[in-house]
Amino acid sequence: MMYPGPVLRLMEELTKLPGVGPKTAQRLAFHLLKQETESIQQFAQALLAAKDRIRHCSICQNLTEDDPCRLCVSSERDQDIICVVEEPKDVVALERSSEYRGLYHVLHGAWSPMDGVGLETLRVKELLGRIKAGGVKEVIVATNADVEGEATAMYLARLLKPLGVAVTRLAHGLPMGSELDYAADDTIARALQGRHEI
Amino acid sequence: MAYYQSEGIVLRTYDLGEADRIVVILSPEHGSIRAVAKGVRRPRSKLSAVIQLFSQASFMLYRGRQLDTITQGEMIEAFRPLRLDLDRMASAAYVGEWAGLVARERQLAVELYQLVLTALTALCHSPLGQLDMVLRRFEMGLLEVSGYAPQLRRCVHCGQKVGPFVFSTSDGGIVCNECKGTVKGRTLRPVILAQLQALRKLPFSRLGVLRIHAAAEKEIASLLQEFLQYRLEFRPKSLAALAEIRNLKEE
Ligand SMILES: [Zn+2]
Ligand SMILES: [Zn+2]
Repeated sequence: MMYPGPVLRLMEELTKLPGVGPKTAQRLAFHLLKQETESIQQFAQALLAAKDRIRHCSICQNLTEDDPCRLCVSSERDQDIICVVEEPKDVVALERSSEYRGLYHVLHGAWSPMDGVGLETLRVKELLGRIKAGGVKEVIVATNADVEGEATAMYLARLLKPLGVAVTRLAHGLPMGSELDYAADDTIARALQGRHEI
Repeated sequence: MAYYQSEGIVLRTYDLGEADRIVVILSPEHGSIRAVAKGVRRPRSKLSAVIQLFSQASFMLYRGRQLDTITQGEMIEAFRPLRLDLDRMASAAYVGEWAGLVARERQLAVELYQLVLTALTALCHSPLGQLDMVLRRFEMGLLEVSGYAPQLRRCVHCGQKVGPFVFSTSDGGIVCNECKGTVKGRTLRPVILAQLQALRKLPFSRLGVLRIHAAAEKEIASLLQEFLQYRLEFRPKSLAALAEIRNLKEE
């Protein structure tokens, strides 16, 4: 059976979302079509408003309404230490642990040669710019505790060490394969305290 | 049979939903397997370690209509040295990318599996200066496994065994002067030809006996790369990463 054109269009858009295959797209499309017009309008407006008002902070690359973001302009944060994470959700996880008082940098991904993800696609040049501008003593690499996260850490170490900053990695305690934002807050705090140079 | 057991090497993983991953496994009996590993992005998941990139493990799977599901896994070899060094890791990514391209779903892949296993082992233990040669040996093996091994013993047209020869990518091997005609080939110095022949025969563990100058190594790399891309109609994305980290080292 063929679906009407607008339904197909909707499913096509949904398949573009990460982790959504044709079957899930079909299920989501029918779920959405069952909703009241008003709630669909709210959904669409939320999407547009988020896209319209949220941008990347020009300094740390995190998602923000104001540029530079709240964390980058705060006078209460240590200015000589930058914690590098894969995704914005990892900043939230680290902030939740209340252990860290420095600045952040969001890469928006992990180093992944097979996907063609490297210097050009990650927000690495922006990080290099911040370090070359001076004043940074330490970069903590807080990428996920999986093979891609470890590889990203080694990659950043090779890139940043020649610039004369200390490059450190969170202590083990995060089990292999786990993502940062699933880790318990005290686990993150302990991993931060026990960080070591790479 | 809904459940089946298979040994395999993890070639690729993709996030799926909240905490799951799709895992692409190369196995000797079933070729490439795409399977879901549930909950593996959460701490304390028992499967997390075995579905890490390049893990060799024994998997228990459940056959599904679209995707299979990994129910258990037991690590055979984690290839830890790959995870501790950027050059080894990038080289392994290159091997994994080709293997993923060549492997077919639900088809025997005994030779490919053995090749990848030997290459990853060599990438773990070879001196750093030899990693490129390991990759060249892997490329030669990959061409053989996929049925495209270049003819390096005699002219592909007349069978002439005495040079000089040129190397023709489109003709699939060496071509003698008489047959050359208008064929566009690379001139092939005898030393390069000898090294290509040796590369094809040497086991990974004996690559150290090859004494190849940097210039010759570049020539061999470019010849093999052109041949691979022509025969398998694919350009690996990881080539960019390999080039990039090499630049970082030289700076
Ligand atoms: Zn910021
Ligand atoms: Zn001939």
